[in-house]
Amino acid sequence: MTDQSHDDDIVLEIENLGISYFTRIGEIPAVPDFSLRLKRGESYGLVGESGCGKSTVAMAIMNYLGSNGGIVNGRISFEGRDMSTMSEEELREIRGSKIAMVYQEPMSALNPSLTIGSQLKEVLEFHEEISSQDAAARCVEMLRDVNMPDPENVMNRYPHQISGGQQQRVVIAMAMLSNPSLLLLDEPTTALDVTVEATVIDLIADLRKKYNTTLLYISHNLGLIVKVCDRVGVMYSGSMVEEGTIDELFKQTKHPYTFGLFDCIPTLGADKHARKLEPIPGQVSLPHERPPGCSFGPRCKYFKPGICDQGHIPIEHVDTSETHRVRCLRVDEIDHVASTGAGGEVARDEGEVVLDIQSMSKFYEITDMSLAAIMKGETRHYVKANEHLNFNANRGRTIAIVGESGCGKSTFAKVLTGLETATEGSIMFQGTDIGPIPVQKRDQKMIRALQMVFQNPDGTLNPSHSVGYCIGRVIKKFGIETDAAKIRDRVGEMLDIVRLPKAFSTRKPRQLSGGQKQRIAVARAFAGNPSMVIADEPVSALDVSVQAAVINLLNDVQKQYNTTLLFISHDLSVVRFISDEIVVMYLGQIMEAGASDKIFSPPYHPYTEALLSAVPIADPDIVQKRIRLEGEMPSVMDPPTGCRFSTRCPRYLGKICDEKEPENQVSADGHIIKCHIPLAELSEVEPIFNTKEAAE
Amino acid sequence: MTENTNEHADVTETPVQQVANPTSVGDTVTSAEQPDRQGLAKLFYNLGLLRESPAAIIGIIILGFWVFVAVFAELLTGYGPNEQDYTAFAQGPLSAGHWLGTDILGRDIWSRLAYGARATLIIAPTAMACAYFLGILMGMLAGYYGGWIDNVISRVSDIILSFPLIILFIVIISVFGASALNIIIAVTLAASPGIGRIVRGLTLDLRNLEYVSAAQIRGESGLYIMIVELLPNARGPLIVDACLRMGYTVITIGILGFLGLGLPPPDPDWGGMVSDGSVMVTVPGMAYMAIIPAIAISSLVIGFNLLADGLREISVRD
Amino acid sequence: MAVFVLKRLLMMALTMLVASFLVFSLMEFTPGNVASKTLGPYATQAQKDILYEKLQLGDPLFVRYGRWLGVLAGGIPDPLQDPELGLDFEDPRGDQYFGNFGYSSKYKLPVNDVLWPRLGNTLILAGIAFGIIVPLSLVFGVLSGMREGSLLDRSLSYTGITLTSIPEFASAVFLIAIFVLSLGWLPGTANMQNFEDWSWASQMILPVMVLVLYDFGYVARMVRGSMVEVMTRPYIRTAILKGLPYKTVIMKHALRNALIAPFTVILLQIPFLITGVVVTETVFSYPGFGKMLLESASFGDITMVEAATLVAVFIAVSTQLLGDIGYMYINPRIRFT
Repeated sequence: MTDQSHDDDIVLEIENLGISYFTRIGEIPAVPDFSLRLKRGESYGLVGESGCGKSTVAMAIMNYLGSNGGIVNGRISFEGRDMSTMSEEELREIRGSKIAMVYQEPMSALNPSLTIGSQLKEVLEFHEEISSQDAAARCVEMLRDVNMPDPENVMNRYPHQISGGQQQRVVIAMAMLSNPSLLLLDEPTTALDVTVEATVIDLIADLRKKYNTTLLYISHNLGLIVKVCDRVGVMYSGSMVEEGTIDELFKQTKHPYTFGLFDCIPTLGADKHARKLEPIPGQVSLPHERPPGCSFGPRCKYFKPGICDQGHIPIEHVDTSETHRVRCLRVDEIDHVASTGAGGEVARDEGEVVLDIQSMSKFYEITDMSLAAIMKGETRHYVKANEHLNFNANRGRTIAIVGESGCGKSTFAKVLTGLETATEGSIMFQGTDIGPIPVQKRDQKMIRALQMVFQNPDGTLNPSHSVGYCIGRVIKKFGIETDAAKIRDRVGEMLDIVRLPKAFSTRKPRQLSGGQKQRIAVARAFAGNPSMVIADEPVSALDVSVQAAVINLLNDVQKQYNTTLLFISHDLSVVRFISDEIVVMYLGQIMEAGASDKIFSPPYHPYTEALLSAVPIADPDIVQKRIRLEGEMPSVMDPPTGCRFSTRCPRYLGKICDEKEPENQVSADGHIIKCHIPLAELSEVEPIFNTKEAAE
Repeated sequence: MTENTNEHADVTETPVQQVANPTSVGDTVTSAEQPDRQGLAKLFYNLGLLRESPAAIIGIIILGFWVFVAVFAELLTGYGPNEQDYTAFAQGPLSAGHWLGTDILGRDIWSRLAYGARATLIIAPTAMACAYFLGILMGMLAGYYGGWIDNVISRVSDIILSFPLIILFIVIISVFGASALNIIIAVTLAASPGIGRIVRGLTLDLRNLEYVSAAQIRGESGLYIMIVELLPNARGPLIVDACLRMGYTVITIGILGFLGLGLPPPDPDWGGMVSDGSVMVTVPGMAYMAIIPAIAISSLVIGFNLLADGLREISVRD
Repeated sequence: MAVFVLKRLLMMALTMLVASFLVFSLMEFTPGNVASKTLGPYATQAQKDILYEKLQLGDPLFVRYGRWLGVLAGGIPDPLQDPELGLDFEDPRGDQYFGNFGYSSKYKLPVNDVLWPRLGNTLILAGIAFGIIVPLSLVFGVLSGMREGSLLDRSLSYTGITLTSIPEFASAVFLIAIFVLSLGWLPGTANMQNFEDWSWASQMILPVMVLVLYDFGYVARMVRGSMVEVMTRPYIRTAILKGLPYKTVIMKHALRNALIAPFTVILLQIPFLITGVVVTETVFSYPGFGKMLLESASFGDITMVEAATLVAVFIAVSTQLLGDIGYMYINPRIRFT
């Protein structure tokens, strides 16, 4: 192979790239030293937790670092041309035509006041000599390629008129229009529901095959990387710490940070009884406060002073592998053993029933004052946010409620906590029907017994109040202590329980990290010794290493207080890990409910089956049966009659599904499936998850 | 629909935009290096932040000057505000004994400016305090409770806001007569719906945050949530807004004085002084009588506006 | 959409009703006052008593307000035009017609004969000012918002703050001192009656300038703020990274979104402009609506003030309605929901 042909094969080459931002506090080296080489047609995944610099790298490739950012050393060459020497004009020719990008938030990446057609067409109009008509035809064709329903019509619509999944298809179509040789994808599915994510991921894989595009796929989710990429690079605090093929990285993991990450991720094979998650201790250091030597050093359990904290540590090839590189000096000395049954907790006997929900429904009334509605006299509509929910929860157990956006899980939390009242049915909580009682009318004992942890760490604490006030207020409000000094002591105890130093009580939320805020939120929820805590997506906004710590904390605190935990989540791997029982919801109804392990094996409800098939699994050895949902999630305003899932069901039977609401079927293992398909038939399907060997 | 447009307008008036900081790192403490400050130390620290905005510093200097003059008017002037010097009618600036000159009735312009500053700096903040009290009350109730309370408050505000304010002032003051109290009432009435609208918008933004839900779930009363949970977090934009409004109120008081609807003569009133002087503005050598108070009033307003701009700049930055 | 406009029209009517009632009750709170104000300072007690009787001023406020509306709608003859009163008020249109605002005691003319020509003059003044303010502030606002922190941006920012801080009456004084007193280029009054010494245009320059200076800073800063915000939006990044020329990014992607918010602000400027108009007209003795309103209010011309208020509120609320409808058209997120 001559040098020339070798160069032709390399699409992107980044050598010792350094990127800094210049701010009031001085130069911030966001990415100190980064190298990467992409061959034509390959798919490369860049993983790392938030703030590790992976998006910065993508923006640097586009040469778009904003007014205060810049490349301080190294170089990026694209198809053999050094990008730093290119003029604005040359850059513009490359952007959007040779290198294109797909963004995290499709809604904000699209211009809200221009039609989709005009936003698509301009890509061609500026990069090619093409008539408006031909451009439009090409766009429609491209939209068809990304499986957009009714593409002609979509051309004339505005971004807000289509769903999030469709918006992302438009962004992908926009990127693929001029057949780029390099496609950068920056967390392209993070904002999407899991079943939509699965279809978008499939689409990306199909397009890549069809157009032989080189992909740089940026994600925090190892499970997605496994599905999309050939090679992976792991970034930590601005540097690549390890890279290799999927198999090398997953099976011959070398860098302590990489296996640290793996130990944080709940896997489907084990739950909290079998295994304990091992969070990485400490926090990522700020870019301008990186330690000398290895930036992961302060958090690494294999850290050796005198070796790891000296000078610059290069990234070196592992053994003889061409592809596997790692940035660690002690790589040969470390022999990592993944954590085993440290969880060691045996399932407890079921306690008494704490919560018993009977046929609970919550309808919202909305008035439609459009002329058409007034003419028809149909100005009142009901949104059936929750419909005939039935289930119960025992003391000390963890019940997960799973479903995609719009399934009604958050409404359910509101009804339980009394922010809304139930429209029908009953919610017996410790012997009282709390369904019709709004929180203002609940007595203190009841309020105290039912507390909540919220999703967004930045919204959960009032930025004006100190941590101490925030926890102390609960203690005071619930009359646990009244004396100021005793309240202070109790706040200290709570901080202890969530493993934060007592000195934190004077801190304001802005002085805390996301994980710490979430710990405070846990402390606040448990301060009144509740008998039940609702956790609404408590870890979905956190990075995996922090997520693991918060999950462990929730488990421990729950055990300590013998509290019932209602865990609302869309993340099935987390749910599998933490919960004893699972309730699957779709469009306001319970589709399937039962013990965790039972939900994860046949018989499945067709919706659960699709959900499980879509979960990204960070294990290259597991293959999932491929089931993809067609169409869009119907609006809650106008749900399908009959079975709610009938419009998208891959196992749709026919008229009966459209017309008749299915009955609950109880399977032999005690779990409930709401479907017309007989249990026997549902049981016959093979499991979703198989190991590679078994599949072969 | 209307609400949409209104809120939009409000947002642009006080842009509380979050500037994405490319260096903020996921699970790191962004401002851990900031120690806790209490009481005075906190105040000095916050004042220290103003150093970073030259606009705010100039604003504070100008405001400080006028506050000083207003407080120590007696000490800084050699004449009473209404005292006529029968030996010196219409003396130009820098004349003997009257460094800014005298007006046509022989009154010392500097004295009148100083006492006029006092009047303005009493009336404007008082009116603003009343307007903010009412506006915050209306906005919080409307924003937090929504429903019919919001409807009633918003409709009433809409009606008042759709009045060209000057007409309201002219009518109120021509009927009830010109006095400091009536000016305060008129300004309060005119300004509070606008403040209410901003507070309502801020409340709507805040009330869906999770810490508010947390408070509701632990059974806190609406009053507690509004005062303890919401209000402190609306503080930033409201302070900026208040500075802008103070400036505008000074203008309004000036306009009223100029139109003859301000403080009853002979008490000094900047707008009135401009009005008195404007009769002579085309007479050679007499223009100073109008120009000096016009500069005074403009400088005070500039002071408030620069401070508002500086505060906003600082709040956006952090 | 139709329902929206209908609702807004109803709201508008309600606003005007409430506003006119408010002004009516403020002005006519003390009925005795009405009689003496109408008759002027030299009327005898007997004359006042007759008028009191004739106007049924003893009736409750609501009844009197209803009667006022009745006269306005043409349902009832205007009591003041009754020859028996000897007021000599005579409207050539008759004493009973739709839109009868009554008879002005200050100008000794039917309100309609004074109000509309004055309003016309004001519309000319405000129209010219508005026609300058809008394009000027759009251009400068967009240019400086495009590149936040540039020299142009900083200078516009400080110019804007300074200009909005100088009240109209102060800037009028400054401008007169410069252009009339020192340079002698322009007249200090704009009474629009005598064009021999100073042409129509030369009389208009200063009043227009005063209005423009004050509002330009405000509107330009608003446009700038909106532009700055839009420039940080991800879709602008998308447009740049599509490889579009900078000009296209600005003209096609940024401008339209940046103008959505200021659009309402600009229309809200119209009621705001009325304040400036009153002051400006007073300074320059311009025979407009604002000066008329101020004169009638201080004279105690109740009929005129009531009529003028209603007209002013009408202008304010109808521009707001236009603003809202226009807003829907430029903002597709609201248009298609």
